[in-house]
Amino acid sequence: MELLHNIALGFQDVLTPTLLFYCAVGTTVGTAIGVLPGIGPLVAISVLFPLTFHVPPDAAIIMLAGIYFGAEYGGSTASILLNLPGTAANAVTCLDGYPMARQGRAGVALFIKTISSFFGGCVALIVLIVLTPLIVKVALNFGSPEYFALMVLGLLAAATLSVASPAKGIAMVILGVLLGLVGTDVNSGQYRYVFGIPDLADGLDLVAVAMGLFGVAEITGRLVSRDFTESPERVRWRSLIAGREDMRRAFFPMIRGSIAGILSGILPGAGPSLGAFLAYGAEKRVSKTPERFGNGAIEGIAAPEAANNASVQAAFIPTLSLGIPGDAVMALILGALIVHGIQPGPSMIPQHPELFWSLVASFWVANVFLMFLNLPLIGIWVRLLSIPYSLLYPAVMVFICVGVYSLRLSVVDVASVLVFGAVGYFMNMCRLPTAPLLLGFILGAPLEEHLRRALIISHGELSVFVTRPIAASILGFCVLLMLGTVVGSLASSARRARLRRSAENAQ
Amino acid sequence: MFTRRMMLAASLVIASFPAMAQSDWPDRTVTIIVPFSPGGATDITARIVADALTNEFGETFVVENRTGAAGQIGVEAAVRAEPDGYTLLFATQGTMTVNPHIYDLKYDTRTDLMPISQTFSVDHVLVVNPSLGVNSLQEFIDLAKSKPGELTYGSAGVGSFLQLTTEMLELDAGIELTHVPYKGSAAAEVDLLSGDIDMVMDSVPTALGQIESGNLVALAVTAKQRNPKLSDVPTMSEAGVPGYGISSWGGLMAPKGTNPAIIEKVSEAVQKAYQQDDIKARFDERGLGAAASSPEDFKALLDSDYETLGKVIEAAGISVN
Repeated sequence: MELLHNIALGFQDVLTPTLLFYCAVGTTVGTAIGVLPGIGPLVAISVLFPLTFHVPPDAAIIMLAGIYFGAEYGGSTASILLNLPGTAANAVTCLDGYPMARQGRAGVALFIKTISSFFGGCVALIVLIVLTPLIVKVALNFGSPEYFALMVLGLLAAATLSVASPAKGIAMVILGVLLGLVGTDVNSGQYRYVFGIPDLADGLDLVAVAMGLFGVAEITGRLVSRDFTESPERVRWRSLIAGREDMRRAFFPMIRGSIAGILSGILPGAGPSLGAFLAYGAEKRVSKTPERFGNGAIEGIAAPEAANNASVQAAFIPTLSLGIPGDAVMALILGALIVHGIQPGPSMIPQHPELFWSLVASFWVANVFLMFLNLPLIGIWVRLLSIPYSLLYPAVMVFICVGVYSLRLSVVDVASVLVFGAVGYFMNMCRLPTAPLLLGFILGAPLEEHLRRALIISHGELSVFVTRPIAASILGFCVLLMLGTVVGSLASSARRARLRRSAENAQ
Repeated sequence: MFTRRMMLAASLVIASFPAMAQSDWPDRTVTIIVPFSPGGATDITARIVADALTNEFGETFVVENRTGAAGQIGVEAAVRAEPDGYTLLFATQGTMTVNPHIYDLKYDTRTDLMPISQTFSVDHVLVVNPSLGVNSLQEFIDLAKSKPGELTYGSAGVGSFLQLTTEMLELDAGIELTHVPYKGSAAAEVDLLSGDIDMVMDSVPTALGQIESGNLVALAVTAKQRNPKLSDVPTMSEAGVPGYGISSWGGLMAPKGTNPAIIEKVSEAVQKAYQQDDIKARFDERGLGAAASSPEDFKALLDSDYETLGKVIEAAGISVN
């Protein structure tokens, strides 16, 4: 009863014209910024951060939250339409979203994405409301051995992302891991492959790598092959709304994706990208027709989109309840809260319950805003595709370069985008899959960091990975997964050999 | 023709030229480079200072975040900037007195930058998980002596103040702990809360919430005096390690060659702003110390910490190679 009472109080605070206004501004600005490739929530929030000094705390937080969610939401629009991930977490949406757009189903893709994101956000909120204290305990039980196990699981999922042969997938994952190790080693402070360039001391920039591999490579490929065929887009209402079949197919992926997203969101250090990739990998695995993935499967959009929106909202849980930010954006939001004299942490909920509940209410309002803002705009976004490529591509390239430069005012980042664009172009030519490389890149450094830290803490005992229950179960699951894949491929090649022999005998 | 009076008047006028140049400053926006990302303690303090200076001078003082390489990118940008008083640096103890000993820097923090004023000080506190079973610094030291190398402590990375203060404790108290570096003290705190590591010398603002809620136990503060927010917690000196006393800090600097008159002006403005109650309140509520100083006092602090921390780094064998 008290719970409902608190929720009601929260809504009462939020459903005031002023706060709703700030929410609207935040979500609109956030979506607009998220759609622009390269310019993501971190830049948006850093730029708008000073505004929060001059605005009352609840309004400031609602606005920042709106920007964050909006940017995550908007990022997948560019992924679907232009193969340009707005944020790294949206890179997964490119895999099936872009093929859908090329097949003329951009409207459907955008619609499903919007619904899935809303769904993911709502589920995350319910979890946030009901389970925060429990979640905190779970988050605290995740130490380095558990994170290591999770990264291993992520890498296995990465290998399955490739449409091509698993061998190529694994090779690209390993290459990604190696690239991810460029930078400063946490444990010794040593520079690795930095070549004396200070901008590389913190590693290659993730956004630059993602933009380059996916977006710039795609644009380069199309320009080189002079592939200017425009998507067969007749914008009819029917093409904008997903049919029953699509909704039915998307339903369970949305649920599974939300769960994956929540789990990755509450673990500081896991992040929305991991959640999205795991959700995609899981869908591909449980699907009866995995070969559709990578060619426009609805499940390939529904799950990751639900996951990354759920993850972004669930990430507030450790931030608010432990005072520990999961990533740079959360750190900014934490800073904004502190500026207003609110110290998130174990004492926040007891001392400022009204703030916590109005935050929860405002998240939900932001979700609703996002849905109603984006649904009517789908028609406009789809029309973007009919802009002549001679205008579209240069504009997109400019946005990419400006966006990437704006992250750290570093020319090295812009150079990275272009270099990885070239790398991605050659990979496409050689039919090497790029998604596994990106995921390997994201997971490589944390994988090493957690492995070494787990061993430092255990003073060299390898057994720590099997004596801790959560780590052991995740690693055990990974082993089963690998065995399953190996046995499965042996079985299917044996079957194929048998079929061939019986076909030959029949002749 | 030229009467002595005219010569005198002319020379007085000419003598006032520097004063005129200095009274023109600032006549446009001044940039304060912050070498760390937005939202962090350093950045927020810089913004408070920027606000105060904007109010004082009437021209906008704006914060520009230039992150990367443990602050080196931002510092280098300031070192290379025009010394016309329109670019200042919000430096920290780490970037000024620690980085030179650990990394090969392309600049000298003692000569390429001119100190203006200290802007904040932050104390660190030794916190442990209650499950460790120690309630005082002496008990912790005894426990560490009984199991050399077994107790673990977290830090924000190689060369971070969290590591240096712990190394100092190890040297002074004759104990041996195992260092577990993290990317930032927040991550270290998570593992401390779950009991994976035994101790962290965290900053007071970060640890305060957990100490107040009882999730972590504070054994001693690193500064020379007790911290107002943790008045029950003894200093290291009081609790069993005499002679120990150091805090971390941040301050404003300007590139070498900036007009000393401008430096004086800014220093006085900061010192004046810090007298105001609302500024003091903004620092106090976060457990930070609002400390402003004259350029000479700041230089003395810089030199003293450069030497002290240099010795610790050498004695503890901290290097990145």
